[in-house]
Amino acid sequence: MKYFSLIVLFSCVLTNTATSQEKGRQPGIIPLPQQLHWLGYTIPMKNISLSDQTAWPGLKEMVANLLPLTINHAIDVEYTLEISEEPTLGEEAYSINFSNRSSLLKAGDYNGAIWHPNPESDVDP
Amino acid sequence: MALYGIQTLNQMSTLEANDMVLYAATVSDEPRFPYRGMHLDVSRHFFSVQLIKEYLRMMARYKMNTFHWHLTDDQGWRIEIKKYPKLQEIAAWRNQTLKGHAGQRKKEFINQKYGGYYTQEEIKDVVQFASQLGIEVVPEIEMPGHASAAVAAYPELGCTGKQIEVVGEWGVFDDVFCPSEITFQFLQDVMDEVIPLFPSPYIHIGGDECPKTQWKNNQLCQELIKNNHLGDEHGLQSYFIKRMEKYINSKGKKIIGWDEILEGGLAPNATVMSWRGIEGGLAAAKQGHDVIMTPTDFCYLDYYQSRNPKEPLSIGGYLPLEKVYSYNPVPAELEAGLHHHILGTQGNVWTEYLSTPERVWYQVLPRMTAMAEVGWSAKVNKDKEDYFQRLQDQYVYWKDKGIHAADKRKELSYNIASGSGKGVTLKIIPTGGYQPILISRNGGKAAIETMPITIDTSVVLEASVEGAEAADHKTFEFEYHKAAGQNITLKFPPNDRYKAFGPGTLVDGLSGNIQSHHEDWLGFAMAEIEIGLSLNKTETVDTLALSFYHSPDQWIYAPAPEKIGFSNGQVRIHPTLVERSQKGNQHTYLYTIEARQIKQMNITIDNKTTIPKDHAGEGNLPWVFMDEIRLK
Repeated sequence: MKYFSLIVLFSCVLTNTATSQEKGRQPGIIPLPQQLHWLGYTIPMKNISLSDQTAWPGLKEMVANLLPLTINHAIDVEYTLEISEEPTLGEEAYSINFSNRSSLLKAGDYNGAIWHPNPESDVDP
Repeated sequence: MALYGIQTLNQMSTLEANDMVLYAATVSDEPRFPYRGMHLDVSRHFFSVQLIKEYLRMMARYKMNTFHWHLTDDQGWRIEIKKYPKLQEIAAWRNQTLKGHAGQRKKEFINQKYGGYYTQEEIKDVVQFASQLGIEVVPEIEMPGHASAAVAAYPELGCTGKQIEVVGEWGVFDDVFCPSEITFQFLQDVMDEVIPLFPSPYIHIGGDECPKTQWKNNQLCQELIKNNHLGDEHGLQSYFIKRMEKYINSKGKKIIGWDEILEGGLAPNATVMSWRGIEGGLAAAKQGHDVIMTPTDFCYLDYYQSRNPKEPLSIGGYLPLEKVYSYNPVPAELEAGLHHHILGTQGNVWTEYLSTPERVWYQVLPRMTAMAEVGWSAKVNKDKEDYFQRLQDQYVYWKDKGIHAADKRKELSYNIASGSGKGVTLKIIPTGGYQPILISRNGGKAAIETMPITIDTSVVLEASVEGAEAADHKTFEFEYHKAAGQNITLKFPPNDRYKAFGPGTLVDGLSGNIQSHHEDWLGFAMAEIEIGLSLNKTETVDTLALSFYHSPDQWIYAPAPEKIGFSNGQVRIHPTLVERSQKGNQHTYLYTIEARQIKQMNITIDNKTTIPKDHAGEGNLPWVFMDEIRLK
C-alpha cells in the first residue's frame, strides 16, 4: 500500500469568523463521510476557486490557489490542513484534519509546492 | 485515498455573502463497499468522449470508482476492433431510429443514419482520464444476446447466416451469436484487442436477455447440447459463457455477467450483476460468487423519477430519488457470513430514450448522488432528511456547471388509507423534505395543515410547499360517495407492481389518473377478478359507476360490460348500464340501481380472454386496471 500524506499549510484570518458562522450553514457533503466534525470556523477564500479535477495537476492547482491567502491576509492564526490516506482503515480511506500547527512552517515558507507524494516524506501524518 | 480527501474538501467550500469560504472540519472516512459504479449505455445512443469525461468527473465528485461502459448492443457496436473493420463500417451505424415509445402500437422511425464508435486511442484516453480520477473502467461486450449489430456486420456469427440490419428500435431480438467456432474465434479476437485497453481486472460479458429461438432451430446448437450433455438451450448459454470465461481468465481477467448467467450453471469465477431483483445476487452469493447489486427497482436510473405527466419520455417504471436513497445492497435474506460477497452497487443508465447529454444528466442527477451515498456511507449514518438538506448545495454546483438536473425537491407524494370501513385519510409527503405543507381547499387561501387529513366530504385540495412552482402543486379531487372509505376485499390481490394503496384504492374517493396507469389504479393480470364491497350500514343506492384504464398499446383493456357481474352477496343483481364514457384513457361505466337497498355488493370480472390478433401482446391475457367504484 502506497503511503501518502498531503499537508497544505496556510494562514487564515479569524476575525469575523463568528459572523460568518451565523450567516451561513455548513455545506452539504455527498456522500456523507463516516465521521465528520465541523470545527466552527471558516476560512475566507476570496478569488479562489477549487478545481473539481482531482487528478494531481488539479490538486497542485488547488494548493497553488490556496497559497495566496497567506499573502493577502493579515495573519492572526496559522492553521494546517492535512489530507492523509488511512491505510490501516482501507485502501480508499482518508482523513482531513485542520489544526493549529503554526510552529511547523511560517507563512514565508509557503512559496512552491508542498506536497509529499512519497513514502520518504518527512511529514509526520 | 487522498483523491477522495480532495473531493470532500471541494465540497467543504461554499459561497457565503459573495465570498467563497472553506468550512473547517475534521473528517475520517472510508467507503462501505469497494464497488461503487455507474453504468452508461452508449449503444442505443452514442455519446462523445467529452460527455464521457464529464460523466467521469461527476462520478469522481461523489467518490464512485467504477465506470461500466456498455459498448456493444443490438443498436450499435461502439468500440474499434482493428481485426474486424466491418464493426466500424457496418455495426456502428443504423439506418433508422424509433420515434416515441417502443410500446406504442404504430411505430414511426427517424430515417437517418445514426451511430459512431470510439477509436482505441479514444478508449485509452478515457481510461487514462478515469484512472486519474480514481475510476476503473469496466467494458461490456455483450454476448451471446444483444448481438444484432455484430451479426449485421458478419452474418456468419449468427445462426441463420442471413444478412440483417443494425436494429433501429428497442427491445430484445432473436439474432444472437451462434455458438460456433467462427463466433468463438471472433469473440476471442475481440477480447485480444479489448483486454489490453482496460487495466480493470474485469471484463463484462453481458449474458442477459438471450432469446433461444434460433438456437432451438439450429442443428449445430442442438448437436452441441446433445454431445456435451447440456440439457437444453440454457445449458448451451452456460456452455457459451463458461467457454468465454475460460479464455478471458487465461488472459488474466475475470468476468462479470448479468444475472442470467446463473441459468444453466454459473461459470466458475464469474461475478454476477443482479438486475432482475435480488434473487440472482442471493443465489450467486450462496454459491460463493461475488455480486454487484443493481436491481431495477432501486438502481435503474432510466426509469421515471416523477409521476408528473410533463416528464420527458422514458422507458417506464417509477424510481423516485428517495427510493434510490433507501436502497440497502445487502439483502436481509443473506446470512452474515456471506455479506462479503456483496461487492457493492451500481446505477444503470440505459439510453433508449436518452438521445442527448442533457437527457442523460436529467435522468442521472440527482439520483447518482443517492447511489453514491448508498455505496459509500455507513448504513447507520443514512438519514433521508439530512441527505435532502445536503443536496441543496449540489444543485448550486450543477447549476454553475450548466447542468440541468431533475429537481423534484418540491414535488409531493402521498398515501391514502381507505377500504377498512373507517373512512378515508390522506397523508401528503414532501418528496424533498420541505415543510410545512400548505393546503388550499376548494380554491381558497392556502394554509398550513397537519397530516393526515381526514376526508369526509367532496373537496378539491391543492397541496404545495412554500415557493413551489405550479407544476409541483398536487391537486386531489375527492368525490365523497357512499362507498368511500368502506370495507373492500379482493379475492386475489392485484399485481405487486400495480397495487397503488391497496384494495382501498378502489373506494378512496379519487379517480385514477387519466393519462397514466401508474397512479391510483389497481392492475390485475388474471382471468377472474372478484371484489367484495361491504358498507357499514344499509344505504339506498341509485347509481353505480366503475372506471377502467384502457390502453391497448400497453396490453391494458377495459373489460366488456357483459363480462362484469354483480351480486348482493346472496343473489345476482342486475344494474342497468346507462352510460359509457371516456376521458383520456379512463373508461367509465355508469349503472342505475332501482330503489336498491345495498349493504353488500360483490363485483366479478371475467377476464378469460386474450388480446386480439394484430394488437400489441396478441394472444396474451389482457391487463385490467381498475379504480374507483362509486355508489351514489
